[in-house]
Amino acid sequence: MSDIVKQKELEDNKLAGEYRYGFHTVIAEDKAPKGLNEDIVALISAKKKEPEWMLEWRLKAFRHWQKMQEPSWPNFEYGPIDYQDIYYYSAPKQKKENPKNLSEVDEELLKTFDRLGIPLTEQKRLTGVAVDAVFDSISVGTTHQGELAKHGIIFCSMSEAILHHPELVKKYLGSVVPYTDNFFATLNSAVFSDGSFCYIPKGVRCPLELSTYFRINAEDTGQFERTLIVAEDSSYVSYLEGCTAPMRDTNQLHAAVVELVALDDAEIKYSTVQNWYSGDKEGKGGIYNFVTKRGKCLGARSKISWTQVEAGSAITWKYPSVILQGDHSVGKFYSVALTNNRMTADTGTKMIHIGKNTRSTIVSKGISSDFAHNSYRGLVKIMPTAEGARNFSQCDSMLVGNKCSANTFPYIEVKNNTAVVEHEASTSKINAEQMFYLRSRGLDLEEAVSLIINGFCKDVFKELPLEFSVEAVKLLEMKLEGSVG
Amino acid sequence: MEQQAPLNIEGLAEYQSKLFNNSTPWLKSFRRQSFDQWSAAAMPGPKEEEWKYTPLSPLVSRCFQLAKRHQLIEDRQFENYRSKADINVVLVNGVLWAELSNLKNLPAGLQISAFSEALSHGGDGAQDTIAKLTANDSKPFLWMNQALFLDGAFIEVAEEARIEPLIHIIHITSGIVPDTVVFPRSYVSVGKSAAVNIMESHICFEPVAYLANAVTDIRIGQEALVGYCKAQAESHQATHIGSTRIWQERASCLDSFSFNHGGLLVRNNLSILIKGEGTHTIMNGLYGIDGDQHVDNHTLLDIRHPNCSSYQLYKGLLNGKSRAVFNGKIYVHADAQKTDAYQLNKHLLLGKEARVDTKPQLEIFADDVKCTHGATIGQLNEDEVFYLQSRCIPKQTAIGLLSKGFIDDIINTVKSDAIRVKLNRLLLKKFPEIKL
Repeated sequence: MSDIVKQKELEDNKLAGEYRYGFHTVIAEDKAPKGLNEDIVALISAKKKEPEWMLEWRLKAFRHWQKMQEPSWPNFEYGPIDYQDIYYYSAPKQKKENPKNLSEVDEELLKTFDRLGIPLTEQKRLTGVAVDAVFDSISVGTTHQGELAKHGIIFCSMSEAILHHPELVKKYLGSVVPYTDNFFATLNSAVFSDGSFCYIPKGVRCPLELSTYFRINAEDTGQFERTLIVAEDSSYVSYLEGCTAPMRDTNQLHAAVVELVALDDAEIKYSTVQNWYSGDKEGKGGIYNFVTKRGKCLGARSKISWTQVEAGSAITWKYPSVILQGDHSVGKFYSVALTNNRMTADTGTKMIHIGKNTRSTIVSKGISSDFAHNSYRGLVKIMPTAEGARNFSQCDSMLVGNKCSANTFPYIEVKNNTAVVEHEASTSKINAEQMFYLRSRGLDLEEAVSLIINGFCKDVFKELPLEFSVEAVKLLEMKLEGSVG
Repeated sequence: MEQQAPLNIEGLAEYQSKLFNNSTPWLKSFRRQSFDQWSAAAMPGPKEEEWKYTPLSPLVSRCFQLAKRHQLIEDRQFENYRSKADINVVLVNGVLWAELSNLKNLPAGLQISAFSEALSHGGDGAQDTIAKLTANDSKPFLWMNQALFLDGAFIEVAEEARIEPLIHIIHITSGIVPDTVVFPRSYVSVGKSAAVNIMESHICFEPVAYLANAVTDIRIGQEALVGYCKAQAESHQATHIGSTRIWQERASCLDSFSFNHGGLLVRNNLSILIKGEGTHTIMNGLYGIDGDQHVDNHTLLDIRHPNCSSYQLYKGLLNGKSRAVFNGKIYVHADAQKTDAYQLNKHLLLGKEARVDTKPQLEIFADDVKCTHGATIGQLNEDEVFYLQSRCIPKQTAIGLLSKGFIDDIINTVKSDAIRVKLNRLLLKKFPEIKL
């Protein structure tokens, strides 16, 4: 009897420590051949029945990409990526082509998202959150579209947007992250397969939280999705993003691009809880999360805030940025980056102050344990035109164990003498006195650590929408399990 | 020798062969190696992280002359500069001038000589230490200095010696044609449990453009106590590129100060390598610049042993169109547990077009540490200026007073009185309206 109990406990423990979303869905796939050339780009474009101008844009990007060098400046190393050994397009084969609504979507796909905790079917799904579910290269379905349409909000997959709203896509796609921007963004511009598009008209406050859930399923694929959010004058939208992938021994590339445009008085809140598979204890496998995220405060008094909880991926390499172009615009960046085992995170932000009286806040918390490397790399740039610009940055790092590292590389460039810029950073370990206090009150080691870490990250968590905040706390607890003591 | 050097220097081959032939065999091979490394290296460009904000392109297009030995200097201004109470070590265009220095009757335990002399008399000891110290460095300007320096100051402080008077090393550039390149070099070795205060001044009284490529190496023995100040007051057309390398052994204590005042384009590389447990390091700095001046301070503190503490405060006062760059790196290795490192970089922007690029940087591989850094950039408080004006103090004087207040607290951290007095005298020129 006791043996059975023990066995069960062991299994439970094992499960708890493992990656919950590591399963693979067996589903027929419609794949483009491996490798990358102009034909593949054309094939992706054709599969999505894209208009000519889109294909041209892709090809322009592809030709530019061929001339580019992979960047070598980051503070980490990764195995060479063979760009010819990746499937650039992989879509689950569906019984019906182009399902009109969710009831036509394959059972297997819906089940997958159920298992991930994202029920798509009408009756089960979360009230108050509209979801666009992206599976490998395509968007499987978007919920609540009808309700959103009532307010004039467009929320759909990128492919649909290209077909149905070409004027908006033409106007804003590449306006924040041009196709020449950087190696991975250019690659994305050439081969992006899907993603979400969101347009909030003038004066509308989006009644629902919008969200995209990204799932990588197929092997040897790269996921290249593109998200574009446009908030017209005086509108508001809060957007969430979640990501998972199966456990595999090989590294998979995820090179997404997110563009945000905020016009006069508009506000965009973009939150990410990133939990891609991070590889096993020896650092085998996991996702390379090389993402370009940038927002442009185009209008006066506009606001963009990035909130991110980075808890997965073998390597996270991204700098969600804000270009503060409109006068009095505000940019915010809140980040928790947790790395354990052999994970690497090189993340931070860029705040480019162009307009007058622009303000930005940066709060970054990094937690590093086991053999992980965690770097904050940020840029605060005050251009000569940015009279009265203001920035405050705070980056704190916590080290759990002595095999890990924490680095900060804050770049501050000030070209206007009316600017006020403050930066502070600290690195320390979990305070022994706080630990002792909590232990003396009867908390066990892990509870105590979890409480302290929660407090450490509170400034960031409170910026997340409620459901995500709870999830983020749980995620952190799970990740840190067994790494202390 | 056929290799193209990264910098255009007239008569380089002739100068080099003469210089190499006059060197001892050891020095010759040391120069040869450095020269090869230097000629193989490219001039660092803006794409290189270390030189991102400091463009060297103005140097590349110029044709440089090599400084000649022994030039007369203008005496009167110089007399004001040195004080009788100090031990003055005067180098003109990189060559030690015994007549201008007071090297006689040195306190017990102190030896000062020319570099060449120390190498020929000092035997293997001096060679070994230099060789050991200069390994693994990859800075083109450092190689250039090592290959081409004429001579330098070689200072040794014996174990347990307490040197009371300040050792003032004065590097003067004088009597040169425009676009000359000089190579000031000094080497200081401080023995176990010794105590000494050293100040190094780089000066020029002539309004002429030149390149000073300076190198200073300081070895601090166990439990030694060293105060070091580098005061850079080159001519306002000069380019100064300096490397200061300091090695700190167990339980030693360093109080360093970097003062920048002159020069058109200035770059200081200060790297401190902690080679033993329980050291304490203070690295403070001040730059007060104006007009088109560009001052770049790169500091590196490399901590490899446990229980070390450090404190760093750099302040910048920027007028006119001046530009300041600060890059402070603290590297804490996995073995350096219980490190306590503090770093702060503050700027006061007075000039409308002044510009600052700062990057305080922490790289930490040990968990039981306390490391913090900060950077601020701002202006004078308008209320404070208004308050002084309401007390009948003219605006310009009020701004001067407040700026002086901004820098006073850092000047006051300098422990040696002799150094502090000299720095204040230099500052006086910046703030003529304030009577100290």
